[in-house]
Amino acid sequence: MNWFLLGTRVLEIVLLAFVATGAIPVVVGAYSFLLIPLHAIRNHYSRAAPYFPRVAIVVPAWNEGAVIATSIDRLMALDYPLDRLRIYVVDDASTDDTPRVVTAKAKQYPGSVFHLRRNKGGEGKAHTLNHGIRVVLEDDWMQALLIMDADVIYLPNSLRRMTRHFADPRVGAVSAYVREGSADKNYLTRYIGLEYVLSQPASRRAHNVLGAQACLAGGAQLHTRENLLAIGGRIDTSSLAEDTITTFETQLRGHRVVFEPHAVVLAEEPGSIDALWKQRLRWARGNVTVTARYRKVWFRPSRTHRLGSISFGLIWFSLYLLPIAMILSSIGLIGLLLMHSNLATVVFRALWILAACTYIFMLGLGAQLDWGISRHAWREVLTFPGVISMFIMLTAFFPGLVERQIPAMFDVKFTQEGLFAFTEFIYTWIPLSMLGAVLARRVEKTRIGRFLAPAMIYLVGYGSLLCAITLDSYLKELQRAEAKWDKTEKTGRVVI
Amino acid sequence: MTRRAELPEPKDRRNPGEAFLAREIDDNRRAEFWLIPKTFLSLAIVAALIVLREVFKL
Repeated sequence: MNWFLLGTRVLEIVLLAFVATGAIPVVVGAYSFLLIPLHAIRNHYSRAAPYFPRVAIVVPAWNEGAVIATSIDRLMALDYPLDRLRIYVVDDASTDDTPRVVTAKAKQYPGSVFHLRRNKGGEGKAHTLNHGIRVVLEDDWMQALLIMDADVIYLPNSLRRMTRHFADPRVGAVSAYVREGSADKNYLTRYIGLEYVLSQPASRRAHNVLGAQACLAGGAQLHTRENLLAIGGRIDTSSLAEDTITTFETQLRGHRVVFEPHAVVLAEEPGSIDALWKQRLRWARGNVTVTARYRKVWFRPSRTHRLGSISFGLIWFSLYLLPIAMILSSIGLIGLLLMHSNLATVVFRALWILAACTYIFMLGLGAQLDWGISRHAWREVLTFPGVISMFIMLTAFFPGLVERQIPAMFDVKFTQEGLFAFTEFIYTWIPLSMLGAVLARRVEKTRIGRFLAPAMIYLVGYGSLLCAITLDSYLKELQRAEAKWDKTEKTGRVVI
Repeated sequence: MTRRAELPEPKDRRNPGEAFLAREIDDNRRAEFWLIPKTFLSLAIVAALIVLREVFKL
């Protein structure tokens, strides 16, 4: 037996398996989007009915002086019976004019708006919410609790479109579509807007079909009183992922969580890479906690809930482990290339053609789900994976075009070494793109950052930026870095 | 198939009445059927690209 040949074959199989891990999230992404049309049949509308429970809205507010007055006015103007609506603003020891503004609003809307003041603040959103929840649970007026952020704006019909699902007693919570709504949009808020389309009216419809929701939107979650009491009458304070934990606890107790795509809430999102990084790092680190905490739920189908279904587990882990899968696939490709394996080119093309088809399908469908966002973000729709990744997709799809015909137009030709170096570059591009995103964050703070950082994100792709943040969350967890609550600064830029 | 009339604005938007709300639910349910052609359109774009690749063999 030729041990060298055997060893080479085993190594080739291992490297192929590495490449295949990169295909898993792509296939799962396509699968989840193929579930979306089933929402035409498998939705909750047949069990929804006109229903106006008494709703207590708890608004956590820390230094929200710039936005809180508008938020309260908007809430009071909701298409909802006034005698069935109460707003509790929990002022988390604000040091700006939040207390003065909320007190004035409480006088303007007596019996409808309440100012709750915490003397000790800065413990995080969950602690602030719990202060308000304790107060609203003291009497039996509240039948449903709406948890929201101070800066979000509910479209007038949004609350009644959420409450109608509570006509079905099996439903414990409803989430709305949180849409990016900044008036002064920049490239990043447009990317975020598009990402929200893909993750909410698209993905959450798929989750409705599966009967399991991953996360209630932090700024738009409505719970029945029964559900709130069932999950302990409080929001989890032990992690940075209180919204996801609330969502999981609701479903683990047999209550359904419904996403309502026709209830729209506008939110202000970070306009800089650094602010986005901090926000998403908090979310990603929260997801690490959730993944570990519910380790006995994954891939264990149950009669009580659908969180343990194979489909839901695959979707969760495909996103959670996406950066690792991408890095492994690059290692696999480079390894095969260095071994001069004929398989390198074949699997590269298969992987990137699959990625290109999935990207076009997902973006094509996502763009149609919210034309308002897609119209403004057409550049971001076209460049979501990054200009360089799109060029690589083109190389995989039409290799002759990139390797021969385009160079021939300029009277140049790839040498053997040149082609090898080009191939090495495109095989390592995914980890490089994540590095590019890290650099973009650094560059943003410099004088030329205003121009260079957007250009870098267009080149490396918004997806790579999110992957880099997720990777950072793994590192922070491994280092056991302090998990602290970094509030995303809001300036009242949202408009209807 | 005749197109359903637009949902009229209710006189009292805080209490729009059962009929209006039931009609709104029905309209939202019907709107979900558009997901099917939208999905097919997206898949058709992908199919067109694959055909392009096969036809031109670039």
